[in-house]
Amino acid sequence: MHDAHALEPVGAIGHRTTSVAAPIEKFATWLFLASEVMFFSGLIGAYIVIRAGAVSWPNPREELSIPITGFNTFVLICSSVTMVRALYSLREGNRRKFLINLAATFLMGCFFLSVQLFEYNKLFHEGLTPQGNLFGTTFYTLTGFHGAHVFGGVVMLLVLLIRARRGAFSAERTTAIECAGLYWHFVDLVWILLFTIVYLI
Amino acid sequence: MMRTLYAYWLNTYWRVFVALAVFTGIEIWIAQQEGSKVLLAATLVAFALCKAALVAMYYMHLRYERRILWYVATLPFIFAAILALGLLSDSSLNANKPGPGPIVEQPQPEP
Repeated sequence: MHDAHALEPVGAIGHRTTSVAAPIEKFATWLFLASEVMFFSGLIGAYIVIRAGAVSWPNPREELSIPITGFNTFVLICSSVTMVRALYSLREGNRRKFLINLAATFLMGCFFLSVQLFEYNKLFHEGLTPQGNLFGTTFYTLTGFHGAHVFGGVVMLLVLLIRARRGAFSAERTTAIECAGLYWHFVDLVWILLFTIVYLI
Repeated sequence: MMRTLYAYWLNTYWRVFVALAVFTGIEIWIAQQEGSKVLLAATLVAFALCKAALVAMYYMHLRYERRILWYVATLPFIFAAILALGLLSDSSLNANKPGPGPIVEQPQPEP
């Protein structure tokens, strides 16, 4: 059985650990993600209450484009893979692979946002607006806040890409990439739930 | 040693990726089926939670993290579940109130 912890340089050079035996940056990132879980829980909870209490509700499969959004979901999942590959390429010391995978993650994030904006534009022209009815309000609120998080992630990836090109990261200095990866995977995780709850059910 | 571990991890992540892609396809197929709405919704939510767990366990590396990070990561979900239970009981009290209705165009303001 492979020792998974061999890939975790906890306590290695550049990692300050806390009394909880985890790098402080990673611990802080997880705390931040915990707050984000509560944030999205509130939004999704509100959506469920509004929809469960409604006598009638438009069929999302008729109002929204499932094939396009399904493909967009696939792209976001792919971006999580490239993010993981970027981290492990960096840990292996393969700078070229690290930069390629980090750039691929950034580009796929941009693609996801582009498709989202295209969908919004299409739905606007079809009459689905945030102020039109509760379905529109909840749809744009949920997907809009998620899109804002993706935008923040894309900006973060761009900054990391620029810093990586300047040699800011190495096999011993991976914490920033690891924390960025946690945030990016969380964004993917939230979309997995949102896609099911908003688009499919 | 590192290269072997690197190859092992890459295989794991590719397997998770294939699982996520397959689950997504199955979800889209299930959503198009006719049947009990409650059963369909429960199945879709179960698939979504499985996918979320795969991402959290493997991509976010939670499976191999220290116990304290498990607590930090899972405690909000417990709070979210409590919130959901409280809200669901509240929504059942409003079940007979009129909902948003069909999508209608906004009336244009008169010039």
